[in-house]
Amino acid sequence: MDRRTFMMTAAYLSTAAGSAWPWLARAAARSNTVAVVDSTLAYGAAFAGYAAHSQLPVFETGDDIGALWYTTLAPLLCATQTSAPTLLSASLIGLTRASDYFVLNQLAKSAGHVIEHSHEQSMGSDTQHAHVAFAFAFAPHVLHKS
Amino acid sequence: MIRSLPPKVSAAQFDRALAGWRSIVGEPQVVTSADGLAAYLDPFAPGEREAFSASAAVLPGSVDEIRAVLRIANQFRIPLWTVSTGRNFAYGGAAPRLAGSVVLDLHRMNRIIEVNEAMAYALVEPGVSYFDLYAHLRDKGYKLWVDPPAAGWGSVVGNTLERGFGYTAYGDHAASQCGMEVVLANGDVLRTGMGGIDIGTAWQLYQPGYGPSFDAMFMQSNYGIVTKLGVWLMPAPPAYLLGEIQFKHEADLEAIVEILRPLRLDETIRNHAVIEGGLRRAAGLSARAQWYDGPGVMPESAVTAMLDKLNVGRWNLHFALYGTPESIDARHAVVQRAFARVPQARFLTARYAGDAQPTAGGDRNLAGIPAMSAFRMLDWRGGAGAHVDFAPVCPATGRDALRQYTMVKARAAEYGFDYYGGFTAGVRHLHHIFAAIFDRDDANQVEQAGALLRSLMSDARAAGYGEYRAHLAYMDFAAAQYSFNDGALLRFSETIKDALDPNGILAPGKQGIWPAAWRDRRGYT
Repeated sequence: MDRRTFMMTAAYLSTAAGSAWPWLARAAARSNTVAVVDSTLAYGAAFAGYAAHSQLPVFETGDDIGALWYTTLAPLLCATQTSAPTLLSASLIGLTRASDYFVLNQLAKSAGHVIEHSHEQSMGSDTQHAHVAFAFAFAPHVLHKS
Repeated sequence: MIRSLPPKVSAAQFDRALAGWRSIVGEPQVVTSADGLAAYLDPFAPGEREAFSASAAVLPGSVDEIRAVLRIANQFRIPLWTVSTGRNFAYGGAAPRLAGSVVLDLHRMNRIIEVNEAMAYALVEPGVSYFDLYAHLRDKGYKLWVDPPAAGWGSVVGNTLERGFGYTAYGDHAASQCGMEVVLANGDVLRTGMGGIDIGTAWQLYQPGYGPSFDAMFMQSNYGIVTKLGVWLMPAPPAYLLGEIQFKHEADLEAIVEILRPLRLDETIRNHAVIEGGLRRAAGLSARAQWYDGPGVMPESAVTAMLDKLNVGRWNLHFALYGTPESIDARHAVVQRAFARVPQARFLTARYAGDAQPTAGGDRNLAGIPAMSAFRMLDWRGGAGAHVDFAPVCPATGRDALRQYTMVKARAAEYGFDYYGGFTAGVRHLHHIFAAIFDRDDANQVEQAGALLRSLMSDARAAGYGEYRAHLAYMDFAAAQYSFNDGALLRFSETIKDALDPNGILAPGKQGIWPAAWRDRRGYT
């Protein structure tokens, strides 16, 4: 098992993400964090397990990341914001295909003030799409849907 | 970091302009930081992104604020580049043609002002996306469909003004537009067509009005800032059928187009049917590396093996029939009979009640549902996927379609690109869209994509074709190709430009139209 494979196991993510990807662990530890995962990816199940272990709401990317954003993620993040007059921030973490990450990145950045953004991309293989692990943290103010 | 300034404007002048804009729209709505301006770079630029960088962005929230912003732009002669939501990817995104322009970002103006179910139209502002309008119609229970383009996050206004297209019977967005509100460079506000009757109720019902009609002037142009736009919506049908016909052979394209044209002309098929290349169809189902990871384009043997394995045709015709089940059955029989003439054609059909929804993104588009699944194409080649599109108009004849396809495929192969494309069928024309997909982190691929686009444009012009839309980097080249009578069309466009915008502040260079003040900035032609 190489380093990446080891890092992308649920066990590793659950216990030691803080040292490998401190930005991911930091975002996951925040109170208003939502996770999105593409479980068709090699490490999707491990990431979903990590998010569930962290007691985060986890959403499957499905066929259309845009639909997920507009129907689920944006309303959830917006609701989190508007219902948080104490100025709590919100975070979005995920493991998706590179294309879905591109779309989410664009949507997240136009939705609100991103105060922290980290990501790491893997190369794909002949049987797997490249994946991107990422975290966005939004400033504590009301987000826009698009 | 060196501060970017508008051309011919000093830092002190720019500071005064920025201060003026901040007083109008508020401090947070004027973007000057490097991080903030990065969002206005084109991530898919087929070359240096900074060649089309902005010096600032201003985000007005109303028509009055736009007018006030224009006063300052005129005072300091600062060029503005208007975007609705800035999602014009593959053609430049939110980036300006003239480096140093200030982006006038209208995404905060996002009201759906009116939906009229009986008359089947909506009146929207530039910040309204197809997803927004779709959600609004569903939430309020209107029995109306939007016609989304492939990427549903785009602005209804922006896509219409760029003459984008979708896939239902209302797929010609420019033709489905009715009535605009436009702010001119001098701050004057006009309403086109019946909008001139300020207490009238027919603004979104009858396009021309009285006398000359100007709506088309504000599409793909830099003559004004469109702040409201009427769009006709399709009444939700009682039922619909989504059909796919898969064709085995490359040369079948000629027959497909010849059979499809009469069906479009007599309205048996009313939607913008799509003749999708096999590789594009396969890209939605798999990654390229799964089938071929050697150098250069995919060999024919690998393409054939991939298509066979995925059960995908070399060409795949997607069409929709809307209406009552009886009328759908009748038209479907005609379609099946017509295409059965093509040997080995394979028919796939799915029927839906009017309120049922397909699951796949492309099919959802045909059912008036916005999607973003088209962006999965970025995964095809791996790495940080990007694409730049070549979009020639093709006469709806089999000969022309096959000619364009052969020409593009051969030239793309020379530069190391697979043919990733297809044809979207108007009635008498086809929109031929070829995407050069590249890894934006690979400098060589970026360079090759840029060079390929120039070659394709030259090839197409030599054969008598022209593009309907072009990336910022090729806007001048595309415009110059419309060269009848030593470029009379562009001279006319620029004569109008100079009359309407003497200071040249609105989107200099858009679609190759340069105001006198910036005409020396014209690029490669």
